[in-house]
Amino acid sequence: MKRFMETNTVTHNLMSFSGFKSLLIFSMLVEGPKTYEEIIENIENNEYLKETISKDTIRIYMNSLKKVGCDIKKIYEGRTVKYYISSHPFELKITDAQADSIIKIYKAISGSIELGDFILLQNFFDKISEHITNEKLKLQIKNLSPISNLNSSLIKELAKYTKDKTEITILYNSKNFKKKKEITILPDKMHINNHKLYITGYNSEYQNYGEFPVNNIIKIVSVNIDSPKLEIPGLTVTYKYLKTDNTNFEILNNEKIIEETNDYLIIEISSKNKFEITQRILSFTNKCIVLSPDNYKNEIISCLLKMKEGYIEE
Amino acid sequence: MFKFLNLLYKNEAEYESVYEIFKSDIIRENEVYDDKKLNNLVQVVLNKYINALRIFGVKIKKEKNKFKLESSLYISEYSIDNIKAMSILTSANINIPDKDINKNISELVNNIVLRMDIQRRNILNSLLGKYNFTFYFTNIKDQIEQCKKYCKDNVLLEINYINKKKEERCICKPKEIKYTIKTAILSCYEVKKKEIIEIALPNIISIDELPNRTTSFESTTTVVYKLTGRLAKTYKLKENEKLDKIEEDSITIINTGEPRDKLFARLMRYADLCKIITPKYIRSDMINLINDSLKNYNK
Repeated sequence: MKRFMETNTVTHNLMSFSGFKSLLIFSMLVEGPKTYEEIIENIENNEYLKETISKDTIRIYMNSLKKVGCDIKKIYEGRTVKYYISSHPFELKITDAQADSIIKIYKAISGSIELGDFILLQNFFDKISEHITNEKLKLQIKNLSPISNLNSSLIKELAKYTKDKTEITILYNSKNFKKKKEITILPDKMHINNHKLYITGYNSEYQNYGEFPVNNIIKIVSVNIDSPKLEIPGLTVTYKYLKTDNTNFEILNNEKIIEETNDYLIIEISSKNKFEITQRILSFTNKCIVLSPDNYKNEIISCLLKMKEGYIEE
Repeated sequence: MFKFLNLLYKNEAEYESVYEIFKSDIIRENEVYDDKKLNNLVQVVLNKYINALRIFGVKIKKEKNKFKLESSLYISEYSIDNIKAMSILTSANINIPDKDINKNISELVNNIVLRMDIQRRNILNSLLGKYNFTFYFTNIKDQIEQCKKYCKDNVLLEINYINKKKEERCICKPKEIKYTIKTAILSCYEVKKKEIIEIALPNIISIDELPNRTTSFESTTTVVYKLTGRLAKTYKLKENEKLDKIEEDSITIINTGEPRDKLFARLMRYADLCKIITPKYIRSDMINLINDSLKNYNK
């Protein structure tokens, strides 16, 4: 080897020529389809081999590769026959335990990552899922992210206009409407709720703040760059969260703790999306009391009373 | 040589195993070899193949009687975005206090890195400091490992834990440990109530292993609920759900095995667009929960 390093020449004493040829043929066939002639030419021109081999010898090498588990396929380009390796035993294999750990770690951090990271992880899961042999886990990983079945370029576009606060008109398909509809919104935020991606924003036509699942958006019809930059009014709600166990309270980016005791937390939540606040408040069930503003507190009480009436009526 | 490569890719190329591969290739029928001659022959052939691999560009090193692959026979294409995703997983893996996850993710990342070119490897290294995930339960590492052992051993447990400020006791079969950034959760099958419950590890006061192992059939409680209005039109079924009935303005859903607290918190969010139909006692629990929420406002 020392001599090789100095002179860059190889001898039969230094290396196995048949081993080297196997590696070369393997590498060529993994790279893409090759004819016998192309393989012969490559071996002839190799700086360490420079030897002529017959088609029969190549067949022997290819049979050896098959024996070790390489799947060699044949394709026809006109009358020309080409060979390539479609799979081989040295490919990445993701074990069940590794796939399971990906799922666990993903679930652990999914509440703390941004939309951009969801897109990155989804692309990565798509890329590696072909190496998972367990079909159930493969499907689970492919569908792990809430954006798994969404058009990633549409998400990127929506994210861009949300960041720039640029008004857009979207073609929207909802089961609530009988036909597809164009909706103009000034996007404010994109967020994941209940394993679904939403874009929220102000609708100037209806003068309200709405939430739209991205899977219902077919496309962006137009971008209204010259639209006035509206200031969307926000809502701030203060609530008391009653501590009932030893777990940590998961505070959101739009929340701040005003007061903390052993028994409770006083939290202020701000959002332009009232629906988002209501969902959060209701999900805490009887562990939460809205303190202010009074009109919002009354709305929550009315909502709870309506729920109760719904059960009594039946 | 490809058998040798196979061992290298699996990180199982101990010298003894590699020696056996080349030895069986050398030994011919009806020929007698003395040990010294055979050892020399194997060593010569092995060196020739290792040199062939090295000259071909595959880096191999020998460490503690084991051959290790440092670069691959072929390169897999990973985009910059793929590498960023790997750096997210790796960064989370550094801090999550679970030995099995740590080992599995590290092995997977190493296997991918092995198939990357040098440039991509450098990009991954440079990105590792970019993400930082802090898990707030590193102090309960031992408790996590113990609970994982219970899950693995499929034992019956009596757990004493804090729930809604009260001490509660349950007999259950531990299933798995789940994580969030804030806490680790033991998911288990509550034998008496026949339902899956989730207990945050910091809420556990004590765990006793019960002597008899149960192999009985586990059936979980099924909850049937109805959704109306816009929710009925847009609702996406969850993993543990199936559609029972579709009517003009409503759908009826059968939910099996969702932990009760999680289900209640989720259904409360649907407000008056959702009603639990059966079983009666769970429907009553839901009504009580609504009443308790109203009591908070003296209503």
